[in-house]
Amino acid sequence: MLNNKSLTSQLIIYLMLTSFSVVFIGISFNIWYSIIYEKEAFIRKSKLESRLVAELVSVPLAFYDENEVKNNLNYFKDRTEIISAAVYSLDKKLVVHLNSDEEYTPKNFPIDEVLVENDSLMPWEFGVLKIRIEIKEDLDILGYLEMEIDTAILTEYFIDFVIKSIIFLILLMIMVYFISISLSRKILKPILSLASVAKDVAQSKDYSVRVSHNAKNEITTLYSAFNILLKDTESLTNNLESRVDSRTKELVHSLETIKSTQAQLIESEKMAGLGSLVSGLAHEVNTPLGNALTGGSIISREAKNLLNQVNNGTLKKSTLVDGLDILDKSAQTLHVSLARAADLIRSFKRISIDQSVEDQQKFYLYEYIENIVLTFSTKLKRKEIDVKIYGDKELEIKSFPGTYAQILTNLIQNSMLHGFAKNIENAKIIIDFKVVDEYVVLMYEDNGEGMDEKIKSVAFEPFTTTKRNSGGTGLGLNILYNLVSQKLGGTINFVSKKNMGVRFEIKLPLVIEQK
Amino acid sequence: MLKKFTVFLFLSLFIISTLNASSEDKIKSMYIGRFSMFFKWPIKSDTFNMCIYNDSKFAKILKKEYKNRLPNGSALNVIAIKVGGLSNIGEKCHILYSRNSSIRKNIFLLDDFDKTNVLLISDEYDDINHGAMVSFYLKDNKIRFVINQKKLLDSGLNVSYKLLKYAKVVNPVDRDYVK
Repeated sequence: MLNNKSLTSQLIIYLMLTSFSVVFIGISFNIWYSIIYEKEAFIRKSKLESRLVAELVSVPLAFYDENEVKNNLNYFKDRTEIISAAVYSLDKKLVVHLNSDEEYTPKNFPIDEVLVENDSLMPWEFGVLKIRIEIKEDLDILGYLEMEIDTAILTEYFIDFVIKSIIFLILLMIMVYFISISLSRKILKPILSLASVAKDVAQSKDYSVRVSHNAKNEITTLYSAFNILLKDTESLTNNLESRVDSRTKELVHSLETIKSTQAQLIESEKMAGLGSLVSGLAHEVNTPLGNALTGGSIISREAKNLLNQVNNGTLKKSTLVDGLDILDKSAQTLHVSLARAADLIRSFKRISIDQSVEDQQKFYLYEYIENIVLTFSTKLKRKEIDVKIYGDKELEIKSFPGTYAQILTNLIQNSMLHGFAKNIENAKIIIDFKVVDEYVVLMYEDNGEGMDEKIKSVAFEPFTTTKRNSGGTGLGLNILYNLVSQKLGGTINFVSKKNMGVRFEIKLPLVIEQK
Repeated sequence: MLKKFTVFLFLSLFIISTLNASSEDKIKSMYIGRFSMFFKWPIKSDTFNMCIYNDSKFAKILKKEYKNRLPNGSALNVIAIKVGGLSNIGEKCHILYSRNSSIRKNIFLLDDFDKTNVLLISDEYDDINHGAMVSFYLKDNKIRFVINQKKLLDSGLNVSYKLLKYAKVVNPVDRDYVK
């Protein structure tokens, strides 16, 4: 609550509260102690007086001299606080009491030396002090003296003491108030002055201002530190523009370097992908070409054999029929093999051209994905990975097919290199795509080893790989991320768990506006 | 008739005088009992001996009054002493109350009475200057007593300062007084 108040107010309030608390506790203790002391002194004094009177009345009482007893009892006559004083004989009959004119009823004994009876609940009222003592000569009891004393004098003392204490407290608090003001002026003035200057500087931005303090103390240190701060700020402000220019140029240069490096990396990855394509294609084409070569050799051999028999005139009809049958089958094998080789080469040509040409083209997505998968067919077969493609076969999109190829190539290579590094039963890759609004949502999923949490958190960052020793560059997913987000203007997300495979969701616009 | 009146008057005066004397004796008997509280004897004994000289009637009154017990409860022995029976008085009595005779004429003649530690009480005021330590007298129709402090101390007796304050004192002495 006090935090919103000024320092001066806080100092005054704290000092006054502290002073009040200390003085209040001190005064309370003093009152309490004084009252106890005064009460005990009052009782002690009353007892002494009663013993004195008992001494005085002892002889007259012994000699049945009521007048003398009364004369001695009159010692209390002028004492207004004495409510009653009575002398009893040994057999507890009233001999004389203080005011003989008043009717007096003897009290019931037993004898208590001192008894304070107080029916009031008020702390400043102490009741009636009752004293009953024996009147003795040595050990011989002659009678009894009973006194009732009003403690109003104690109440008066208490009230008087409290009033004086309150006046003292008020005077002290007034004094503390003025001392607080004086202190706040002396201590807080330079701080408040500094705060005012700081506020002006913050508003005017004029850092040439300096503050000064005459005394040598902590405030001087504060002022010096503030001046140094102002000086540094002034210097920094003056140099800031040139430094910003310099840093901006450095940043632009760095950005260009990064872009250039990124482009080189993408190109390198692309070339690596093409290399992979070439390698796969060579492997794929080798088999049909071998078959075609075998078929060609059989045709050549059978044709030569039939020609020799025709020239020798030994050709029989049945031999001719068998030979033609062999030629027909070999020609079919040759045709199928060459057709397969032609398909493979066409696919390779299409994909390789797409990857090297950066123009947008219309293409059927399903067929294109099939062609890409086809380039990996041998490697996929070797690892016994089953690839399923789902989606609309008639969906034609206009985009960068080479980029699509690069994306899927990266994903399939990652699956083979990381997901299925160990042979897994029923290994499969599922590629599924569908149109949602103006986007193609492409799902790529495998049931390989998946990624642990550590890799997942940095999967799209460059140079993140678990296969660096096996030739992994750690750029695959980073390039893929850049291609999706920057070139195709889409988004890419994935979910993965260790030993539970990985699932990428790539959302790409159906039509990409030409930049 | 005159003779009858004279007899009646004489009888009345006698009765009044007897009643007054009886009341006075009773007060004195109570006073003597109280003296045992305020005077201190050098030798303490279990029984307090109160000797009445020359008045066996008063001795009877005392016996009847106290029934062998002082107000403080200690044992009391009232001894009636006839005229001339004062031998070995110091061994018999704590208090010797001389009745119906002047000390001047009787006890004063005793040798070495001062050494007996006996509190000598007289009914005659003048005796206070002739050997008595305490003498009763009448003032304002009340019985008072006078104490010869020097005589008391010379007899080896002590008296309460409160009693000195209450009574009339002759021959007062300083606190440092030594016989």
